[in-house]
Amino acid sequence: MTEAMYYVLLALRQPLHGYALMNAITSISRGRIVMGPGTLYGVLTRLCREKLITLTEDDGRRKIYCLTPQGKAALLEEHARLKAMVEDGKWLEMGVIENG
Amino acid sequence: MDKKEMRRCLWWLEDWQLAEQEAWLEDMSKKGWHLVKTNVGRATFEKGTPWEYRYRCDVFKADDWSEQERLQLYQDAGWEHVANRGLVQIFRASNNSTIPEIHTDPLEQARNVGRLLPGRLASFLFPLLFLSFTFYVKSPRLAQLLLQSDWLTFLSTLFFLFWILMSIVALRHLGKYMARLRRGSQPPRSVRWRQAMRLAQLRGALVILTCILLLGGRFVTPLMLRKPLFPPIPEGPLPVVRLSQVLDVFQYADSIPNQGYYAGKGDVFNYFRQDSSLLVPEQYFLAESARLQSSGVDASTIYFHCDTYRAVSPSIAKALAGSLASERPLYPTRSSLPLQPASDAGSFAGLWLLEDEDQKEVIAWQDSWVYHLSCSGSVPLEQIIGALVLHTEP
Repeated sequence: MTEAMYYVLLALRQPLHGYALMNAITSISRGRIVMGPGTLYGVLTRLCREKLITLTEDDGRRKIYCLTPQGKAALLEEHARLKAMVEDGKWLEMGVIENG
Repeated sequence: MDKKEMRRCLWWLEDWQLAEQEAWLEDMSKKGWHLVKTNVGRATFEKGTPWEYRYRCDVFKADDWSEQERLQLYQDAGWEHVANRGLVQIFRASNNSTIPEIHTDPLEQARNVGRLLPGRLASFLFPLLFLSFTFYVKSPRLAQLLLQSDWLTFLSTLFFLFWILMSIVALRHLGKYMARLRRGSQPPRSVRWRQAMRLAQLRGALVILTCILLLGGRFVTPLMLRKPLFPPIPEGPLPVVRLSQVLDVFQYADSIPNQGYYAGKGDVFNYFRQDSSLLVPEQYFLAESARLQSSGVDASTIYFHCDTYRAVSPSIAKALAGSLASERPLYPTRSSLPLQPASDAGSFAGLWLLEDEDQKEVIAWQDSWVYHLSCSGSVPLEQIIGALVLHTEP
């Protein structure tokens, strides 16, 4: 799962349409990630194809997306993986870096 | 009401020159010309306040209903959809840092740009298949190429080769652009678009000029200067061997009315025609038919052909003679058997012969000249060669 996919899933705690998602991603990542509309649309299309998200409302030009159970499971799994990775690198935060 | 000043320009840059098109449109906006719409190969600009816009080209099908959401999303994010050129969608936004780039993930952008590849690939394959078809499936004989290659054939071959070259340039350009994106780098923002534009203008002008020449040469000129297929044999000396030089006494056969395709196009068995090509500038075709009288009884009709060619050089003449002798038939009415080289070429540089019951043929090459004689019936081969030797003597 790419960083963009992870943040899109993360931002879909509640159903949102595209532009609201863009803002939610910036907000969740505390401004670290600003996702362009082209990138976001590509990610949404792919997530829909993989059935990780679905549409709740479709009024033509502004569709509202929400997580599917598979999407939630994939998000939790990715979160656990990232957390384990951070845990594995905990010692870096203690300032103990062996040289040579 | 004030009428806004408009300006129409030819859109010289190709759709695959994404960064160049963006830079050109940004430059136009800085000068106060803002893009309004595009037509086939043209752009319309409207005069306004000079402004530093950001123009971006994205690649997708905007007329697809499912892509309406995408357009809405871009618009919500601050990108105005201005126009499109096929798959290339042109967006514009103020040079304002709060509006994010359309693509913040180069990998995602590379996938979009990849949509241009099938079209470019088709554009590369079409002329390649066309040329392959012409040269391999139709497999023209060398003689045909030498005799029929006029400047139009030369120009159209050059045109197709140029088309293939341009397609390769396009594919290479797209490949490099996509490779850069796949490496995670953003698209180039400082491109030499002026140079690209000048090259595109030169290329476009060449293509337009070639198309006019080809259309004019292929379709208009032949209609205006319609040459008869079988013009009557003129009086006086001709640069060909005549049947009267081969046979002492003969009587011309009655003209046979032409039917079907040849109807109204002249006498298919008695004509003298001239032609030319780039490498064989002088080509003469003579057909004569005669009815032989034998003891007052109508014995047989003889069909005689003499084609004379002057090539631009002896080496071309040699190649032509060799091809005529071996790669047969050039004309379906003649025998399809190859001619055999004569053991003694006599005064000629090359001599090929064919002798069977119904058909005698001679092909001779001397300097830049090639002679091709054929005669049906029982005329002895020596008599035909003798007439040719007399004709070619200085």
